[in-house]
Amino acid sequence: MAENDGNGVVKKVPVWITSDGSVFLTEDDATRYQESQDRGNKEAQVFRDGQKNLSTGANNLTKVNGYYRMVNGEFFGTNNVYDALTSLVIDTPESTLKLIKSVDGGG
Amino acid sequence: MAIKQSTRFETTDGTLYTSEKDAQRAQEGLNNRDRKSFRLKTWEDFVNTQLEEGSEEIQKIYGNLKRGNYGLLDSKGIFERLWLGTINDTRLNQRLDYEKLLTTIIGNDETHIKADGVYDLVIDKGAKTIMSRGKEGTSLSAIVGGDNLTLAASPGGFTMTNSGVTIIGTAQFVENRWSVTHKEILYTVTWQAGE
Repeated sequence: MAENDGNGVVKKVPVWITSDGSVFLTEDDATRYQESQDRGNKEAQVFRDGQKNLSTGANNLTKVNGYYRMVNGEFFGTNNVYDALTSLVIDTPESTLKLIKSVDGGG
Repeated sequence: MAIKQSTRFETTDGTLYTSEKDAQRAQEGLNNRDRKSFRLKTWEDFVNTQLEEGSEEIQKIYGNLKRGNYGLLDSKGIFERLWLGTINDTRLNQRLDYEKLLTTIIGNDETHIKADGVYDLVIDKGAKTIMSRGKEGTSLSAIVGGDNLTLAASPGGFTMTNSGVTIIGTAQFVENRWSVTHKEILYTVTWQAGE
């Protein structure tokens, strides 16, 4: 940047602002950042949707097998996670498969 | 004395019944027993495979699981990592592996068998059959009722017959396992009446 000799004037500078308010001096940088944000947001949304489906599905299945409570971090007795996984796989595989598939909105 | 033909009903443990109802009742008991042990073995094999062949992270998770190291507050995170894990520190995602595992377990009644060894193939209401290792596109050998048989696992299906059993169906080698579907089982017992 040149030294101001005291007669400096305001210069209009184009900037690019992304959806979260970040400011970039080049369109390329802004686009790259925005795409990265979009990917992250989309991935996070997919995760949240899957998390919600997993949680809701597990709640609905607790009458089929009490161990589904553990999918939501609700414990009972002295059982551990391995016991829960084993039971969900061996005792109620159909419901577990349905639950897993529901993560993607299916099932 | 003339030869007389009749029918018996054989359960998968080889017992013959004169009453179909009795055979079915006995078979239900056998199925419950065998289904449980099959499921448990399949699950234990799955976990052992993760422990032996999984990535470092997977080996760590399953090692801790088996040792009971995950406590009350960990379960939600563990289930999400195994069945969901799509972002950041929860990238581990074994959903597809679990889908395969569960499909195998559920598909037990559909007579799915592995190809890397000798496995029992129990066909519903049919004879106990042992299928042995085969390669894709080649033959599949089987022991039916004590007799060695070789069948061609062609796309068009197969027919294998021994003295008392005819099984008609299709066999496909898919993802390292034989998938055998029977369409029809004809089972007859013949014997010569005594003097």
